[in-house]
Amino acid sequence: MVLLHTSWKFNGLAGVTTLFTMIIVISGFIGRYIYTRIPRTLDGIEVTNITGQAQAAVLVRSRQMLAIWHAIHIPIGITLFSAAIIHIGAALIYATLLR
Amino acid sequence: MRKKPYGCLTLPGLAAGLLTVLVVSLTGILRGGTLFSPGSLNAQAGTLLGGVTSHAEIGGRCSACHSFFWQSSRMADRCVTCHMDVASQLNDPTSLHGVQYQENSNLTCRICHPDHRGLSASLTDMSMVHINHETFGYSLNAHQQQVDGTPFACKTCHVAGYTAFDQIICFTCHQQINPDFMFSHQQAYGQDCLACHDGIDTYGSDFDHDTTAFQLVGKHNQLACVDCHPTARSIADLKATPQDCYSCHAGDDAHQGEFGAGCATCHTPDGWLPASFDHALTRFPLTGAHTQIECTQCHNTLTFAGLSLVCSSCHTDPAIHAGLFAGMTCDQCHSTSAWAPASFNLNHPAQCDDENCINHEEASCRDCHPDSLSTATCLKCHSSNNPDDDHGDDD
Repeated sequence: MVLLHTSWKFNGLAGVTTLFTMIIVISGFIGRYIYTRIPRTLDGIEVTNITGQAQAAVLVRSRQMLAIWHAIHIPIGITLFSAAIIHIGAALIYATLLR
Repeated sequence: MRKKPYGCLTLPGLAAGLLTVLVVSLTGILRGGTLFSPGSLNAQAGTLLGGVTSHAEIGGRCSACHSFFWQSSRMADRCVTCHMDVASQLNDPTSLHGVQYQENSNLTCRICHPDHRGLSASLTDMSMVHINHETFGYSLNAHQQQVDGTPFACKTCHVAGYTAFDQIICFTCHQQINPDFMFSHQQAYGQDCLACHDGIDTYGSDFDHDTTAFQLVGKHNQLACVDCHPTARSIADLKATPQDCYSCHAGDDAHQGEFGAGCATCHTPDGWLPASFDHALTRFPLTGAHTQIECTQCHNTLTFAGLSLVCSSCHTDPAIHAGLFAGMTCDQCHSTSAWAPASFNLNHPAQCDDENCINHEEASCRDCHPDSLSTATCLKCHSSNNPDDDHGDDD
């Protein structure tokens, strides 16, 4: 939908916003697979009573990966939201409310 | 222990948001509003207006064209700040802009003149505007499809811009339909097509001359326009064409003006002949055999007025008369019905006093004078020329 909204024009802030949208979507797919490697309850709470050394090692590694992903994904997301809000404001001023 | 899920408001997240705002702000300061431009402004150089020759030179100065919603001026106001010629046209009902604006005052410049569509994109797109082309004196009623069946576009005729029209376009297209006609038509009437043609075929191929005061009948219906309108170059000229016969037919008047300019008194548009002249209106009403002859038998020199009324001006004294009737007129013995029988009312030089000669009253001149009135013979009825012979031999 975002791509259709661009009318295949990627210049200016709108183009930057589109670029970050695509990055955040890809990042989200990656994060989704890291996230599912950590056992959780139905409420999304991590399960702590892991038994077995091998399982414990996987869990530690997954937590580390998720932390790294989170540190990258969140700034990109905030950047996207910031750019999108500015883009929407500019569109309101220069297009929607244009007289 | 229950771990708290990660949130968005992390320090790196907040830093990234602030950095984004900072970058956008700096870019805005350094490069104007280009960051918000939806596309390149038109870069085709034109007349120097407002210090620039193209919109692209305005660059990121959004406010040169755009007004914010809290400002009183509008974009259209900013357009005419530079395009002052358009500002004056808006009040001119004969101009393209004036007509459009007066028909719909809600029209704004940008509806027909969008920008941000690329460096070389056209600055005019009237596809969103309904143009009442008749307002400009030319209907598109007869211009819906081109020769090849494709619909007309504005640029089909307005090659050099929407406000310009070169009438050579008319000839270029119409010669594909009928090249011979177009060539002769242009030779006859020139290249100012719009002087007569208004697009609804008022004076085009469907023109019905019978709707005018001069209906085309008879041979007039077979003529080309130029035969009667050779010098016309506008509708006013066409309408001003004289309708009297003589204006066109003075040159081919066989009577050389003798009968004035009222050709229709005798002639019809079906042809000069037969003429229906009422000879009874003249000094010489036609009667008898005179009604059966052609005009040229009497008017053999094509002189029609002032001819002599005397019979001998046409009829010579025949040999049979032997010169016996000099000084007399034909009508003393003959009528216009025929030469014979003649009614000889004078005293016959050889009267028969015999009371038995009553039959001679039934005889015609030729019975006794077959060759000449100066000689006589009785042999047609009698066996002898001697009057003393027995009349018992009569038939």
